[in-house]
Amino acid sequence: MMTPDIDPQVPGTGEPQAYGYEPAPEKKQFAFKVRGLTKDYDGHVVLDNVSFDIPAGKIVGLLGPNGCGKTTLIKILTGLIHDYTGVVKVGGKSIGIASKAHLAYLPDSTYFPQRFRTIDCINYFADFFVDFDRMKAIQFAGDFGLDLNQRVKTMSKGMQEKLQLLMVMSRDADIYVLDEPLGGVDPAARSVILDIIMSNYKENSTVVLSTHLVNDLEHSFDHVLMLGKGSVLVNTGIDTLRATGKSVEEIFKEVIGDAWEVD
Amino acid sequence: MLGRLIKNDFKAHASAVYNIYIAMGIAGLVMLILMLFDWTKGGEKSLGVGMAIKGVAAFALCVIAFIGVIMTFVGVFSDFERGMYGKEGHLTMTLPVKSSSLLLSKWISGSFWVILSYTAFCACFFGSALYLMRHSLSIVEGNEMYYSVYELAKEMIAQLCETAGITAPSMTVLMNLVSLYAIDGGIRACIFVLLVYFGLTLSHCRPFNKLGKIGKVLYFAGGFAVMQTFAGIVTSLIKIYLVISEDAFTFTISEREVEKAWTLGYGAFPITNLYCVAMLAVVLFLGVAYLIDRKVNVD
Repeated sequence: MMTPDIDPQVPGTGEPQAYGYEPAPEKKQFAFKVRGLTKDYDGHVVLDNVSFDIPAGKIVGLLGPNGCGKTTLIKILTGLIHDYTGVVKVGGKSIGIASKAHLAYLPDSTYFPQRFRTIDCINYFADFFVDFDRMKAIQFAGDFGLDLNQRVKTMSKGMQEKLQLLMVMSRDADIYVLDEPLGGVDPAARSVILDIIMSNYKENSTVVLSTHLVNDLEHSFDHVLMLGKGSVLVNTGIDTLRATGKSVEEIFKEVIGDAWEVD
Repeated sequence: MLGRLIKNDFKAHASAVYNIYIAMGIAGLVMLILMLFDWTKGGEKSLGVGMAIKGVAAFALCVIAFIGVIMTFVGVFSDFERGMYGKEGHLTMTLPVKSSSLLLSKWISGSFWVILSYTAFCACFFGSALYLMRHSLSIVEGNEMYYSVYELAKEMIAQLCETAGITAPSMTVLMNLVSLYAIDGGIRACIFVLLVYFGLTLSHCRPFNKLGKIGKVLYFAGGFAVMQTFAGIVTSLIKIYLVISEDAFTFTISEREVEKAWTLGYGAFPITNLYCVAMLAVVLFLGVAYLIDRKVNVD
């Protein structure tokens, strides 16, 4: 594992910090602020007293091996899981209506009802998210060959994922949390999806991309958060990592190393 | 936001059960068409054939309505679990709306469809009985024995009242009583839906999730038992009735007045139990909303 070269404690908490921890310049400049977060599934600890800050306005790579707690962390940040201990702030706010209004979330599986048509998905988002751009979504659907009257249940998995991504990226959210957006997609479609993400997120917003496909995405990241064995192993800007002369993937393999095995 | 949530939940529930209502409509239509034939022209044999055909149609309608009730229950409750705590929960639970609004919307829509299915079943059952009765009566139509269905129903009520030793209430009182019992049934159906939601929600909260599917039934049954026991105790201590006369509704706590009302041809409706469970339902609603807001975990 890489050796921390800065103060090993999170300021004000006395908790040990991850490699590459960067002290907070100002509270409001953080998209996420997490302190002492612990979550277990029937005694199996997935996140163990985790503390970190994610700066706002960055494209953040949430990296880690399968089962390291990426999806669990995302579910906590989006308000889908409540039985954890610790403090979590999203955009300076506790998780609730206000945080949800500014956060666009893409899960790793289809969340639209099977009976929905493409147009129903668009209308649904338009009904509930004030930052949703209906016209943009309709245009997206046309560009990607999605029939407005086609039902979700008749779409292939790839089409469903594309539809979901288009919905999320048609929002002008402050924070985008995308859980494995390239997970079930073939290599040819990955660049298309990546292009949709990179060319459509709102300027100055934060994009959290969870993935274990480090190689495909590492050039897009401004910031990297690596999880493993229930802890934050790396939390730093991409420049700091590149200064080591290694690629993110190389650092990933090096840092994850013995953390690959999950307890 | 609540209006939009309700709109979506109505659509979701409707999509789960609309087939059964179409089937009910077709069966009802067939029965109406069968009414257009004059089965008396062909004599007794024709009446017998008519009775058999109408009987099959009426039976089919009742079976469809019964399936409708089952399908509605399954549709409403599976939609709640899937929409809140399943895959669709990733969308529903990340909407910027209050948990109480999410719950209220599902509750209103779910209760509507449950009550509708139950009402449709009752209407089909009693409607079919009257339908067949009407056919039977056509045998004696024109004779001095002839009754209309309405007259027959009135006669049956009068006989029932005589057996119970009370004076038969007037049609106004009877309709008011029926309305009150219908409202009572509707409120209890809503509470039933909420109790199921409570069971499903608690089974997604830690540590209650450990019992799995059995837990859902146990938490529902536990909630139901606690509610009924509490309401039963309060009802045994405080008995409040609503006495219904031709032109007024009056509250009373005197059982003697209730007995007197029945002998005078008035009606009386016990209100304590319903009031108690309705108040407990409000507490239950707030409890479930709290669980959704603070304790529940989406799969």
